[in-house]
Amino acid sequence: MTQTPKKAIDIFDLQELARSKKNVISMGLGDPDLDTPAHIVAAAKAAIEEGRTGPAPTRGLPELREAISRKLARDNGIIADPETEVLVTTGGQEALFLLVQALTEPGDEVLVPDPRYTSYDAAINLAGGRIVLVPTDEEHDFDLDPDEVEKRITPKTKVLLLISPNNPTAGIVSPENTRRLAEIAIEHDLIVISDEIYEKFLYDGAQQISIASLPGMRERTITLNGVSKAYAMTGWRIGYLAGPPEFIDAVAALKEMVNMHAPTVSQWAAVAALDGPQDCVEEMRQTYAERRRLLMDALDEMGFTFGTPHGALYIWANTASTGIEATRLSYLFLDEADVLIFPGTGFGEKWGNYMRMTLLQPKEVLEQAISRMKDVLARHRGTAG
Amino acid sequence: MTTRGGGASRADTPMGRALAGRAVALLQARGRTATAAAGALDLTQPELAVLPQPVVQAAKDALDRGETHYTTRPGVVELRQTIAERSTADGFSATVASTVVTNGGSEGLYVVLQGLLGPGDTVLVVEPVAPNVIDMLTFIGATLKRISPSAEERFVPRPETIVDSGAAVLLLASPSPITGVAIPPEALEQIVAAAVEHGVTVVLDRSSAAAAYDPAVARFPNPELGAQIVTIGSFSDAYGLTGWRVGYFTAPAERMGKLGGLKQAMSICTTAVSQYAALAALQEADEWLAERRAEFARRRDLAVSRLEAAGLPVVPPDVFPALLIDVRGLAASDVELAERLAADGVVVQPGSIFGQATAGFLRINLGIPADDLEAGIDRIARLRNGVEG
Repeated sequence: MTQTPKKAIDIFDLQELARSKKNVISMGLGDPDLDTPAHIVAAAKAAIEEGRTGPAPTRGLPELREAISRKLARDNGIIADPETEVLVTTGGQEALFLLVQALTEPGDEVLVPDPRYTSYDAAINLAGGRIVLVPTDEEHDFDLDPDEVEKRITPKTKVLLLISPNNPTAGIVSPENTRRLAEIAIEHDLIVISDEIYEKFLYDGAQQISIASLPGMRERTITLNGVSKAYAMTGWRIGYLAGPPEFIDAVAALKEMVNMHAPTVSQWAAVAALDGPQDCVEEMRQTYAERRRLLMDALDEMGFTFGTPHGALYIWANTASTGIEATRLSYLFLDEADVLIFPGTGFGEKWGNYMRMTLLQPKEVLEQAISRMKDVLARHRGTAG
Repeated sequence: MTTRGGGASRADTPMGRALAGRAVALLQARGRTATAAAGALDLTQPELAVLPQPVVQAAKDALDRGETHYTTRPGVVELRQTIAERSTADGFSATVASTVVTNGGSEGLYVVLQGLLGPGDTVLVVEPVAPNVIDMLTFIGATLKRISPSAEERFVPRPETIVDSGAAVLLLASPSPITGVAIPPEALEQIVAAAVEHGVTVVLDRSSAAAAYDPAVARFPNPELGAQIVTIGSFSDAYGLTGWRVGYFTAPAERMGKLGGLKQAMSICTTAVSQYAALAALQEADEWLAERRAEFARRRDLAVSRLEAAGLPVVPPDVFPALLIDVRGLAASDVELAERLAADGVVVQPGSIFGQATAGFLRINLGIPADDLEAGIDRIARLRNGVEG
């Protein structure tokens, strides 16, 4: 079925269209193309062979919670007691869903940097919370400006959401801004959700800090992370939360209510990921860094603009200079060139000039996608606005 | 009873103050969960099933193939196809498009209830019902109306209780994982027909269907009607895949947009390796399941004969692993008897925790190690002598 390009096309329509075509190069979903490293898969197979597949505690296997606690101390400077301050979830998505349900009451305001990963919207809306968008922009590499946050704080503001590195913008919150945001959170008695799922993928020497490690922040911060992106483990569904015991108690009660515990085999795989050799992560980072450079250069040639993608697995590209609105360009890339890219409107209503391109294809496939995109642009540039 | 969390000392912290009221309420409700003392004879926790070899192999093969990525959001197509075929064969018509794989049957149930009910909507709940399901409905903010059919009625609700209930949803389980009892197919048809006629959406928990001693008890005689309801399925009890967290729901087409979207918002997709294990369970474990049924039937027969010989009647179950022991003839409540047994080092569930319908019953799990089962039943039988009225 062919969509008419007149109507607003969303991510769902594009995926439908992509499914009806052959030889589509996907730069859409955020699923790493790299397979889970072999030693992690081997640990899962050992668990299966040895029958370590039965039910696990709601909060997660003690071995995994201990591995998470060690990881947080080692990588993030966060102290989290594996008994009381860590909860394993069925993927980062469940972690965010449950924590938003545990915190948000009707009328509560949640500060959300825009553009955004809209799964947070779904969770906040379901809980009856109000999303208060905090704009970020290309000029500042989509860093989060503490002044923009502070001027949106009202008596109803309860939570500040930080996603760094960011999906979709690939921006990070700079250490300096992180420190100022911590001061603001303390001053206004806010809870901070720090989504650090992309933390392992920083480029060209970029650095960030975990806000929970700052003075006075441990008691008011929930750190969300998981193994999906860092270890190419999206299909295993293991995420985790670290935060104060009273919060972890509440989310554990929710977790028990909705699905008892995270899958056991996956938990053993996650133990191997966090406790095992970390070279695989750096290898993946270097792979993504090469692809990122390739795509940045190509986008420059095509006349797209973008903030410096300091992290994550994406480039958030501005198509304005092509004269073609990004949603239409997404459609043209797929329809004419079999390249699937999500339009910016999937990440917030006002982002019609942007598209999110993933780095999750091998270099030679990306090169092919770039060549196809260039052909489309050559045909349509300045003619189809 | 534990008093973790929510205490006065903890409440006055930034995080304690920030918790949503319904989360605090849930936390307090959770405090009721008793845990077995170390070394106790726990008649509620089944031993781990030795998985069917094809399931083990399929899981390892899936990992070798690199099935470590997100699957399609509603689940692996071949698994959904196989689930839909089985469901259709049981009289609940389903297709790939109307089937969503979930991280366990309970995630499926939560997604369905959250998707169908809003704050203030009335839900008719047929007892007995698991405490976590009551928690879900309370958390969602639904108004609960409980129906408590008696053991003498084999826990079958009367269709007229649905009429004029004003309910948006009727939630019931058949076969029930709590009682082990299936609503007879014709009775279930009447109940569903009454609900559909009065605009009540039926949510039928079929998570124990594959655990039926006789699969015929879990079939539905009216496929057209069967296609109009929402069903919940699981691979936990029947196939011993509890730790793998895989279940599913089926729903009429017009419901799928919302329910599928909610499942994606909750957890994107279900664990890939678990889905391939579940697929092998459906396709290659019939023989294993037949042996498992036969083993549970042996245990059931043993338990029933010993208990009845001791003067304790049971509710004959249609599915494994639950067995309800009738202690209404004793001069103590089920809760008191369970406490007395716990003091004696034997853990059972008092039926009251599942609602009024099962008050006066003790529940045990026939999946515990065989030696423990015999020893436990002997202890229950002895207890009877001490409290007979």
